[in-house]
Amino acid sequence: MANRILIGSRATGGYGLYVGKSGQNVLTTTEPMQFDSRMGASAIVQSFGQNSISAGGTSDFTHNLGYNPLFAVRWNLPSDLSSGVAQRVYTPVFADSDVEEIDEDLDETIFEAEVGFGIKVSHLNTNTIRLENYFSVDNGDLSGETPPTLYYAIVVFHEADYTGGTGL
Amino acid sequence: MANRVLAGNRASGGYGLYVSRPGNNVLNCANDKLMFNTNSGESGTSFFSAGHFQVVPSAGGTGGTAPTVSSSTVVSAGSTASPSYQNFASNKLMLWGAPITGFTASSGATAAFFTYSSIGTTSVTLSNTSAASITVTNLSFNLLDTSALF
Repeated sequence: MANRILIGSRATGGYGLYVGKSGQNVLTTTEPMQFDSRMGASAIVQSFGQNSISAGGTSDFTHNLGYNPLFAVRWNLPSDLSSGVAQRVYTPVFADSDVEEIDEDLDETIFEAEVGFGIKVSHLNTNTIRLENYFSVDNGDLSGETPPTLYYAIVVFHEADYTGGTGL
Repeated sequence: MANRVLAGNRASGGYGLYVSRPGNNVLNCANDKLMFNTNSGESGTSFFSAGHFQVVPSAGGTGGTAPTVSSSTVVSAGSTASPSYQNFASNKLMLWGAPITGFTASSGATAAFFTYSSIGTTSVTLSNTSAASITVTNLSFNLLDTSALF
């Protein structure tokens, strides 16, 4: 069996706690290790969950850590679900757009709409992460369209948020 | 208090380092009650511990120097830069970048497109493929499996 755990001085890396992967000698391996105390941060799961958000609605995920933690969110549309399981997911993104089509000959607007897209994720406070369904259709010629319900999954880590609020 | 840390031979898992969640006996709790354990080469759907998702520091992490988690790089439109990181995981890395400046009405949808390529042991090529200068926050993770995203 290979040496798996080293607490002490490693020829490469110096003093620390090192754990090699199965079958690899922790003393000499050049492969990424299972744990390496020289690293900048570790993603240890604190909590996780999933939910849906109706159009224009919000969903608050409470972690009660008392600081802004690192998180990962993936979301999907109803059409991405198969038997209740997402077949593809997206990273958080949101945008607003104003669309207007003008007939230059007649100098009049023939189509207009205001459309929102995506999901907005933010630290509501140091105990709560807020997810907002950003899909919307306001006014104009698309007012008859129905924005979709969104589905999301979230993982919260113990580490403080080193991504500046964007998440992984 | 329950036994929380075991460095040695566990009835389920064999020799290794194990840490259980609070309130769970590390000696005999179920795998999903462990918050750290050395993997034993599991495969298939029972796969439990491939390793920790760790950030390779952009600097430090050795001697008395604290690790720096991320770096920030300014790249002009159409140009490249070479953000660096410590050689703790050879070139088995997943690069993750976040633009500080997002989409804006004036700059349009090409505001923050960039790519990573030529992943080396201490640096990577960061290419700004958008039409404006951007600032990218660089993070590097040790790759748990070369056949999967993480």
